[in-house]
Amino acid sequence: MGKGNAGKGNAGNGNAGNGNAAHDKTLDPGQLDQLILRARGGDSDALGAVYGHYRPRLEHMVRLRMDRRLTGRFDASDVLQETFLEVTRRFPKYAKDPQMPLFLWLHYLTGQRLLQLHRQHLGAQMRDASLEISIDGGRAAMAASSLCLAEQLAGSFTSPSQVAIREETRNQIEESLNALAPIDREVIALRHLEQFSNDDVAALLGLSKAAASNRYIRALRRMKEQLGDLSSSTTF
Amino acid sequence: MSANPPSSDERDPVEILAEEFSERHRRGEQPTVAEYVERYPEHADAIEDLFPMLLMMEKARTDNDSTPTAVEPPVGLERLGEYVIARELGRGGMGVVYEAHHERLARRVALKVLPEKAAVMSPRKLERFQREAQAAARLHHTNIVPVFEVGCDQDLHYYAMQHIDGRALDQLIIEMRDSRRSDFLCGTEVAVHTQVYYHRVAEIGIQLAGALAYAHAAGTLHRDIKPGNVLIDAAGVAWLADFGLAKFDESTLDLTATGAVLGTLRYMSPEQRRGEPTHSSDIYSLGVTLRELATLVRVHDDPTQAAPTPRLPRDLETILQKAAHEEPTQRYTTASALAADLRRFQDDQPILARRAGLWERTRRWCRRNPALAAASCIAVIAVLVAATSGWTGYVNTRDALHLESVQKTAAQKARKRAEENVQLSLTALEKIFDALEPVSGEARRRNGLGRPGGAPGRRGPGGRGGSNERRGGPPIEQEKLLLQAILSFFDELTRKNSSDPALQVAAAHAYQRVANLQTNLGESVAAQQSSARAVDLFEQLLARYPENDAYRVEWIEAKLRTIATTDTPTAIAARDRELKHLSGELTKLGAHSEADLLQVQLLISGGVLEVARGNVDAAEAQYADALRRCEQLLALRPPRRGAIQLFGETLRVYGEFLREEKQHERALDLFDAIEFSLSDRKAAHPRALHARAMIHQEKALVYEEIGDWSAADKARDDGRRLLREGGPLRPLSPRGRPGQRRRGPG
Repeated sequence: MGKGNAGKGNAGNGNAGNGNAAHDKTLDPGQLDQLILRARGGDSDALGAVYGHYRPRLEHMVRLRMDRRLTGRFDASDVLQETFLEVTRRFPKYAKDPQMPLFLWLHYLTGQRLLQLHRQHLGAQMRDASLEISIDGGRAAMAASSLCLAEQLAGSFTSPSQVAIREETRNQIEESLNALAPIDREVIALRHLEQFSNDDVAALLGLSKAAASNRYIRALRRMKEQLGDLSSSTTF
Repeated sequence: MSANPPSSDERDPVEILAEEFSERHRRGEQPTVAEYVERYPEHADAIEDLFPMLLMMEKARTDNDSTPTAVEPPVGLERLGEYVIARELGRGGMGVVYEAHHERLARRVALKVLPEKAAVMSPRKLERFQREAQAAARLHHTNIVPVFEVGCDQDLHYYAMQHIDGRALDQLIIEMRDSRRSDFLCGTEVAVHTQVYYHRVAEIGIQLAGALAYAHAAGTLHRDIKPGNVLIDAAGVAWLADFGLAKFDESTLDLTATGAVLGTLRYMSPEQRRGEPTHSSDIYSLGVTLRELATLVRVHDDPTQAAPTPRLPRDLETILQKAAHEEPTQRYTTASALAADLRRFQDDQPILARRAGLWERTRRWCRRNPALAAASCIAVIAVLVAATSGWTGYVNTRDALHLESVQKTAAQKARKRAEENVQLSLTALEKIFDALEPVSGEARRRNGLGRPGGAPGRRGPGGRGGSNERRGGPPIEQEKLLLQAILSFFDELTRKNSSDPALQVAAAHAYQRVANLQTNLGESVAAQQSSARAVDLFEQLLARYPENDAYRVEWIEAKLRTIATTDTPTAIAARDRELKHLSGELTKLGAHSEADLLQVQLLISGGVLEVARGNVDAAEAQYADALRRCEQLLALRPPRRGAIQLFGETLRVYGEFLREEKQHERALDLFDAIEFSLSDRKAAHPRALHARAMIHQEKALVYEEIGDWSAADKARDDGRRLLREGGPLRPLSPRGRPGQRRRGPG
């Protein structure tokens, strides 16, 4: 209630681009640059708005990686909120010397938070499920799980007429993803479900551009082997 | 890889094509596999094999993206459940609030619609929402906005609350900050930051804390107290809204909520941020809210950027500090305790909250700075206890700078503040030194002027060095510890600020003063070590600024004090070399104003060295030269700063030498001659009086040695009289401090 009840006209929080809620997710590049600039100047509301801009993509990122066993304990918004705390804390340092583009950095921090949560709540089971991959000299990252990926990918088969085969399809996709090394699975997730470029993937995973490129192609081939007729029998 | 396209960075060519293919698809183009096969025949196989999967995955993504779970209630919404919507009151990240009427009850309500489609809300979350709403509906308190109903209609979850005709506190705070008037809040014309205003803040605090106490007793947490959730109605009553419900306002997908989330974070206790909301965290949030109301300065994430905060009445400040203490155990245990203390403030009664004492602040500081604390926690505490101010601010600011590099200007500002704090701390340290010097001076004063009629032999069994026996006991031990603490502090300070010359110099001076005090306490070895630290620092400074004569002067001075006093042949040879070296360094100074003083010190050291070598005549020549130079320095107008101390030192060493040599008559003649020349010239000058007092003191020692007790007593009386006439002798600065007492204080 708050302001609204108090008879104030517009209860926006003063954030640019805050106007019309959920549908208007993206800021135009000019707005975004302005906000980033303000955030660098210490304006925490601006930082909030910038985070808001990227939030749908980050949420998507979380959904791809969150283990089923954790749902019920948290949801994606919990992770994002906690990540945002970390973002707020670290932003001044990041702003001083950005080591990677802003979104990649946010993505990275989200992944770190997710990793912590998984470690905390799943412990040893986590490694069994090969959710954790190690990247770039000792750092670790949270890999997309086969199941989540499969859910996403199987979505394309979910038309009313295909409901019956959906579950089977999902299983097949999951199997094909399981055949991938976790890091290759992660490359696929980043490339397609999160629309990162090869260079971004390389930066995120601490790989050379060539290595990221090769892994991607290798992963595609491997998936193709596993999926077999499935993809060829589907019309796009 | 074969057939690398240009600028590929060794990337797989098929991958490059795949990236292009996917991107075109994302842009809404309709690239086909066949098209690519045709364009790149050399990769035809791979493209045919793999690109269909790209299409599949891209399609999968877009399919999934098209199922939003967040929702906007339609703009033209007319009814919801049994409510007729009158108008929209507000809309934002927290959902939409309408003013509405209950059809049958003709009740005016505020209707809040959750920004999440009912269909996609998880059963778990829905159940939690309903449970919280029921709990909120059970709260009946004059300062809690009543919740009437929770419902779901047209795929929208909503709850209905009493409509409060008033203003939200967050808006009021902004208005008051701009207008400097608090007329609405106070119900009459009142400027902000007045006594009346603060009492009104306390009144609001009492009401809200009362509401909180009631809800807590009923087992309900608010979880989101902030100015935006406090309403002030036309009668001036404060209302707390959204008990336990605020968190449902945030849709999982609602990006605009992040601003609101951040806004909330400002008011959230550390433990709540970790996901552990408690009664205590509600008290914390209320404390922060009230503080914002009192100061009209928004709590900022970055303290270096915050606007200056007005000075609150001390008691109110203390209460709010306690309420919003970072440490839950330090807060009020209940909301009613907070209300009670606020009432005491209103009634001008003594409040129960105590400001964090120095000890507490120190403890917290140590917890916040574990690394530093581990290095010298005990030591720093001791210094803190003595210094009472300065350090914490400095260290915090510095650490803040270290951890979060803020904007440059802000950094400079903070740095300036840090330096000011250091200066403050150093001033505080000066006070410690000043406080210590008379005491330890007393310890070293041989047959002190303040001890009339002292008996012979009080120099103790040790003959020369019996300084401690007189004071003895714990006080000296405490002083020694304190000095150690100061040393540790400066060790840390210099280690962490090795690039800051000003701090290095300050530290070196402190080491010198510590060395003085340690000498006075009879800790000659420790004193030498302290001086060695100063020497080190000055050597570092000289290496960086070889032309800086001020550093050279201080370096020589410090160096003189470190010269060993052991009389083994090798040690003597080393001393000789060092003195010659210093002599050479001294000539580099040319006509520097301090060169004279240093020359005297070198002469004294040289004399002592000659004594150790057994060259009595050479020693006396050096002492006499030193004394003559001191006299000249004292004769200057104004007398050279530090000359009086140097004079006393020379006199003492020279006198001691003569007594050792049993040259009592010559000593008395010499002293009389000096006193005559001093009294002849500028009798009234305090320094001359002090100098003469010192002479009488030395004479008394000679008389005592030859057994002329009445003459000794008279000399002491004369000395005291001259001392009184001369007024207090100012504590010695690190500069102008005479050379070490290598023959011991006695």
